[in-house]
Amino acid sequence: MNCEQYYELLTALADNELIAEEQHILDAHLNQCAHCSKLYEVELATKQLLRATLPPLKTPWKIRADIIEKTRIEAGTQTEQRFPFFTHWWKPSFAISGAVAVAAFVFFLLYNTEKTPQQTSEQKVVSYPAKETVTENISVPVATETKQTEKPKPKKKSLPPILNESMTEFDLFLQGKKKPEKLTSQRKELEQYLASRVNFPVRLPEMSDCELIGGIVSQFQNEQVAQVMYSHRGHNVALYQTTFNSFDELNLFFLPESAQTVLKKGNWYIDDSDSNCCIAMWIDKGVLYYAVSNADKQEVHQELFHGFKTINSAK
Amino acid sequence: MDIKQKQKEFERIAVPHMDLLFSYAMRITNNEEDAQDLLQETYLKAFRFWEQFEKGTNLKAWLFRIMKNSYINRYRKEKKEGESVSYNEIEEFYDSLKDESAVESSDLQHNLYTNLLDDEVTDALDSLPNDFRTVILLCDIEGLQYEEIAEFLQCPIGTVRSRLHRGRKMLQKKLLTYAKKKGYITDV
Repeated sequence: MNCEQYYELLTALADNELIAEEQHILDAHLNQCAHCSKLYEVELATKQLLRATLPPLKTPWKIRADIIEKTRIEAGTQTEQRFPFFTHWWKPSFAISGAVAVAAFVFFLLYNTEKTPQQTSEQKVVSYPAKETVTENISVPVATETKQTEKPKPKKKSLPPILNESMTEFDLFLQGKKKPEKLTSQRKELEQYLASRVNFPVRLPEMSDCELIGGIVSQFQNEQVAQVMYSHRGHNVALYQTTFNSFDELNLFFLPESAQTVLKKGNWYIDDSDSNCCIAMWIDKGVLYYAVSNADKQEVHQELFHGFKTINSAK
Repeated sequence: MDIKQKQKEFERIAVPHMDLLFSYAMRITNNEEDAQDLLQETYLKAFRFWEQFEKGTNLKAWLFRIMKNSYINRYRKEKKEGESVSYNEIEEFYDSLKDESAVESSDLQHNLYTNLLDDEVTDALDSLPNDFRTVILLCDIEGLQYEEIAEFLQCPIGTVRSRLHRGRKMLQKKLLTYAKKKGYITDV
């Protein structure tokens, strides 16, 4: 055999696809041929260059969820979207309709504030805009002190006062068709409010660059979900807290196995493969925390990590 | 098997390959929206025809085949593809490479690989005839074995090996030419 005949074998050698006999013959040749050894190096370098330039891609979360959902619908094991907010909530149409509805809500609040002089105490303005597509920030005045006049709600530990049985309610929440059950910028107040309505400890991280908007309790199948909305520099951050009887149920979130492994080990799972939003998940003491945001991913991650660190160190 | 069992089995066995197929869909469509459509069509078809998948055979190759057929049906008329290149042209092109001094090329290659931009590598890969680009994508990018590629392309393993060898050689040549044009190296 001459060098030209060995040349094709070099490709297979770089791919580790030679049969034993070929390997033996080629090894012997490479030991005495500098020319072919160099060609082999080029072959390896080309493979490495391609791999480095075009690394394998990960399916974005919402694409994965959409596809699984469609097969489930086809199988008849699912009749409606389980987590529609994962796939739709950042869409501009929702964001715009949300902004319009929020504006109507603002008007409603302002109107009521004018009509009730006792509610003229200092109000904190929390920015509650939608996506980048909405150019104007819309401010939602949150009467912090006036909330003190509210009657304390009775504690319910069995089932939460669910707005409805479906998580599609969250879409309505974002569209402004349903206001947050509790509209407040006071962390402790919201924490207590939510804790009284779910049967697991609710923890709201204190995130330095995020303003609290409010919260809501909902239900997914048999699980209670506490949802908290923050605003981060004009973007939404939604933090959910829930429990699962078995972590196998994580499959319900369409999580890839790698993510489930990470979570079961007690680490954060971050999915920012989608250009529109990022999702951060974490399990602590049987409670699953997951945050969805269309804000800057790095900033939100930092905020979350810092917030939860504060909670944990305070315990 | 009832439909619920089928769906469970499908999620357990087929869904784990989704990243691989998405990655490939992105490479062949070059945009996320088309890749999503293609991936979705592939998985829905795979689910519908799940009974036709022969257990024990290579699932990845089966899914890839569905994706390839879907791609051909959906995009063949719309997208520009390099599949009309004849083998004679390739032979001629390949023969022209044989004249290069391989040792000289290898030295130059080591230097230029560190200078090339991602887009330049992608462009060079995209400019390859489709048959050669496909095997390089599947082997070097997606990490499939020759046997899996052969099953996907429904051709002998020897053909896969030969196409890979020629495809890489063509790619190396294009990268060298690119580097020369860009002035990364002064002589090829």
